[in-house]
Amino acid sequence: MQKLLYVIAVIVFLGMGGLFWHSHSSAQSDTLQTTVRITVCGNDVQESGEQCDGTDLAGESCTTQGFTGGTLSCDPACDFDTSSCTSTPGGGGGGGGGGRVPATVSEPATQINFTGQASPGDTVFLLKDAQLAGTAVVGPDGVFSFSLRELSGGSYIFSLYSQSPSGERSSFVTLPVQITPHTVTNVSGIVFDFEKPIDSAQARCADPNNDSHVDLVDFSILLFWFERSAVPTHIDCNGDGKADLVDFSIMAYYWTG
Amino acid sequence: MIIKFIIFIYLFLVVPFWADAAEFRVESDAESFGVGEEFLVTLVVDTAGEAINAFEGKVVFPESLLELQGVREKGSVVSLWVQDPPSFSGLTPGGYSGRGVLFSLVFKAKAEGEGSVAIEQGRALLNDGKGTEAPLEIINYQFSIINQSSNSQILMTETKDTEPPELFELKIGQDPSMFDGKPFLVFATQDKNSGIDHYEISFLYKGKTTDWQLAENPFLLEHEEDLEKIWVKAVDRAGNERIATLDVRNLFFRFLLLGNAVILGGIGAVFVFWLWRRKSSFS
Repeated sequence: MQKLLYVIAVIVFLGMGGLFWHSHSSAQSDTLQTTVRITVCGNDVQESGEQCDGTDLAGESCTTQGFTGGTLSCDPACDFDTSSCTSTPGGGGGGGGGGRVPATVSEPATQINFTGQASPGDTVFLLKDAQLAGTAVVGPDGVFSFSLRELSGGSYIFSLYSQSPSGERSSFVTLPVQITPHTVTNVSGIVFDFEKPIDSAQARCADPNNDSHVDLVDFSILLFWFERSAVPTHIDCNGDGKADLVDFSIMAYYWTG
Repeated sequence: MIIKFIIFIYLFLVVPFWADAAEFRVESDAESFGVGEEFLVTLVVDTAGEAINAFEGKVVFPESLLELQGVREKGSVVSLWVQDPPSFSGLTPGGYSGRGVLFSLVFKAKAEGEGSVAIEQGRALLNDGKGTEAPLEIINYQFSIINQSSNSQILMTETKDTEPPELFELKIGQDPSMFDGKPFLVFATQDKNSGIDHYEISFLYKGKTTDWQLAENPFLLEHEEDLEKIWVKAVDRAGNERIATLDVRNLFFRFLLLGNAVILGGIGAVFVFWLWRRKSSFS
């Protein structure tokens, strides 16, 4: 009896060890450590990359900016506005007051900016809620940037990937971002991982209309066949005779927007 | 001794493994409501560090106690819906990692009693190119309905949605396996507040505009030879609208140019080949 318990204990130990190793090894292979910084211009908090934000002037004033007086303010782009700062002319002479023209405060547009680094010559694709929102060619300095306007306030999933001139694609960098109306959100520090495993047969299947883009047209073709019978083989990526969530998941992996 | 050893292994190896499972959690801000009151129940996903790109399940609830008033997709991490909640399938291309909302349901308490809002047949698939099922733990929501006001401060307080749905584009697709190979229109957009309620479509055929009719993606295009323009109207659950337009004349003109270029190129190639053969036979 005791022998049997020992055997059970060893089996449980080895089994659990295997599960533990498997869960951690698979997590490691899928995880890319990047530090993406998201700052919001318009939230009254001065953050990295901003000189100021609304009423938060980061302890600065007209005098620290080289003027002798006046009122320092912050413009909609989160840069100092020194138009109301004053300088006393050298050599004295009283200054006559002078009517200050009230500054026109324009409400900033709702905007999001992305910056990051990739290999020079690569093309970076930006997707907004799975649909292509822009492309940018990486400059010789290895830096790319995007700017999107005409957004509503709300929660968005932005995804970016990079593609080399030879067609090699990186994994997605996926960023859920909450956009507040009339603020500028800055996302920086984006880098890409090119260790994305590709199965060429699955990649072909994820693009049923074969136009080298895995997008809404392909999604709609698969949607047409969702839960129908006699699914064509070029749509059924895992070959189980059904157009189901697994086929959609494979398509989502190879998505280009 | 052996039993203690097994318990030790169980606690230190099995329990941490469970903690790595993704989670569907049905939650609300309170557990008790009065008859006639409306409240919001939210399905939240926690991916436990994995990148998940497909979510699926079915929301079940006691219909004798609750009446489903509506669906809210505000703040959802899902970009493309295959099936709208309460029986849901949705995608996040590229994968989502973290804790986020899938959708919320608005319920009205109908009668006294206790019950649960539960998820059945829940699945979350990894963004690994194979559709591997992630280990998933489902935590359902228990509630009670009492025959008096709940005095709860968390009942439905929704701000009016005045924003139209997001800008979107119309595209034409074609596949031999669908609609006998005829062209079809594809469209999809999102609404960040109340969510998309429906789409309507209208056409311009030979200078005449058709009435708006309900449309679903993908939409078969008929009489495309006479078609000049297509409008698709996305309407959100608050009645706000966004219209996308596609000028099909330009599209067909481009196809025509491309077709002519191919034909002319072919004729040119045949002519060059003929010249080359002629030159070869003379020399």
